Amino acid sequence: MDAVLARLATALSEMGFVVDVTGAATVLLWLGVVAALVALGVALRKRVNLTVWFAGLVVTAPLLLVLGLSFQNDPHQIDSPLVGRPAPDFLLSPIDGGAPVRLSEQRGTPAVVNFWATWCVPCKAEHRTLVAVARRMEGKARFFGVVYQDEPAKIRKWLEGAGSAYPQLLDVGSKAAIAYGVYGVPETYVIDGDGVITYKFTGPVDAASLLSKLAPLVGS
Amino acid sequence: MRLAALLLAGFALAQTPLAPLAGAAPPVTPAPASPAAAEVPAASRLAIDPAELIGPPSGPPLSGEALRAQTHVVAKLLRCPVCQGLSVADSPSESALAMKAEVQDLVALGYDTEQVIAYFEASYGEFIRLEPKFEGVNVFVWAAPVLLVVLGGAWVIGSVSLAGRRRAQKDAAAATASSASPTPSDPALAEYLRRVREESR
Repeated sequence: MDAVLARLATALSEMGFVVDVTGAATVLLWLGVVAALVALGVALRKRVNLTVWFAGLVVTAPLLLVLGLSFQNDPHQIDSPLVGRPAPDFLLSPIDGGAPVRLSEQRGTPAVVNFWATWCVPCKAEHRTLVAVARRMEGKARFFGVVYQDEPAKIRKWLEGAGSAYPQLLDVGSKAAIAYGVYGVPETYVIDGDGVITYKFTGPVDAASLLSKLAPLVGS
Repeated sequence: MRLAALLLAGFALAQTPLAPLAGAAPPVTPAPASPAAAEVPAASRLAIDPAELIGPPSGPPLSGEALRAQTHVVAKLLRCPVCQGLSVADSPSESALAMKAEVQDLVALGYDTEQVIAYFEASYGEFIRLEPKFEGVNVFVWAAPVLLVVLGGAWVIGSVSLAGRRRAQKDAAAATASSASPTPSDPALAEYLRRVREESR
C-alpha cells in the first residue's frame, strides 16, 4: 500500500499537485466512497442506466480524489518567489524616532524581518516568541520588526506594554510590504549573512521552527 | 438528460476565468498622491529599483489622462493581495491603494503592462496575476469551459435530432400500423378509432 501511495504522490507532484499521500486514510476513504457509489448504481440498476452511471463515475471519482487530497493544502500558504533570492533592501524609520535603519547595513549577520500590525491578533501573540528568540540570539542574528498599515501612536502604546528587544520600523505607504510580497500579517523572513532570503513564515511563528531555521545560518 | 447537458454547459460557462474582465467604469477619483510627489522623482519612491528587476522601460513616460487610463488597465490585471478575487483597481483596501500608487509610478516611467506585472510577480509570485497564465495545467482552466459548452451543445443538438428522428420513425410505424389493421365498417366507430390513434401518438 505504501509503495502504491508513494508512486501516486510522485505522479501527482509531477502534475503540479503537491500533496502528502503518506496517510492511507484519505485514499481508503475515497475507495470506500467510490465503492459505495458503484454499489448504489448496481442496486438501482433497474431504474438507472448503468452505462451513464459508470461514465459519470469515471469523471467524478478522480475529482473526488483530488478534492480529498486537496484538504491537506492550505490556500494561504503561497510559495514566495523571494526564497533563494536577495532580500530587498529597505530604509525605514524606527517607531520611537532616531536614525533610519537600513537592512543591508550589517551584512554578514543573519537577519529576521517580521511584518506585523497591532490590529492583527496572531501578530501580537507571536511578539513574545520573537522577543525571546531575539534575546537568545543577541549578537548572532539581527531582528527587525516592520509594522504594516498602522498608526505610530497605537504602535507605541502597545509596545510600551509588550516591550521589544529589536528595532520596530514603520513601513510608510506599504512600500517594504510590496517589495517583500506580503500577502497578510504576520509574515516572517529569515535572511542569511549574504542577504539571501532562506525561508518565509506565513502566519505566526513558534520558537522551535524559528530556531531550526536560524541554527544553520548562525552556525551554532 | 438534455436539461442536465444544458445545466452542465451553463455551470461551465459561469466558472470561466473571464469573469474578472466584466468590470465597472474607471473610478472617478484617482489614487491619492503624496504631497511630496511633485518634488521627488517617481523612481526613488519605489522600494526596489525597477531597472534592476525588469530592465529599462519599453515605452515613453506617460502623464495626465493617458497615465490614469493605462494605470487603470494594468491595475485591473493585478490581484489585490489581501482580498478574495478583487483586482487592485476595484479594491478599496490600503494594500491595493499602495499597489496602485506603485503601478502609477511605474507606468509614469514608461513601463508597459507585462513589465509592470513582472515587477510584482518578482515579489508576490504568479498568484498576483488576477487571471492565470495560459500555460501548463492552467490551459485546462481556460479551455475547459469553452470545451464543455461546445461538447454540451453538440450533445443537446445530437439528442434533440435523435429524438426527432425516433419520433418520426414512431409516427411512420403508427401510420403503417393503422393502415395495416382493418378499419371497422361502422363509420362512427372508425372515426372514434381514428381520433384515439391521433391522440395517443
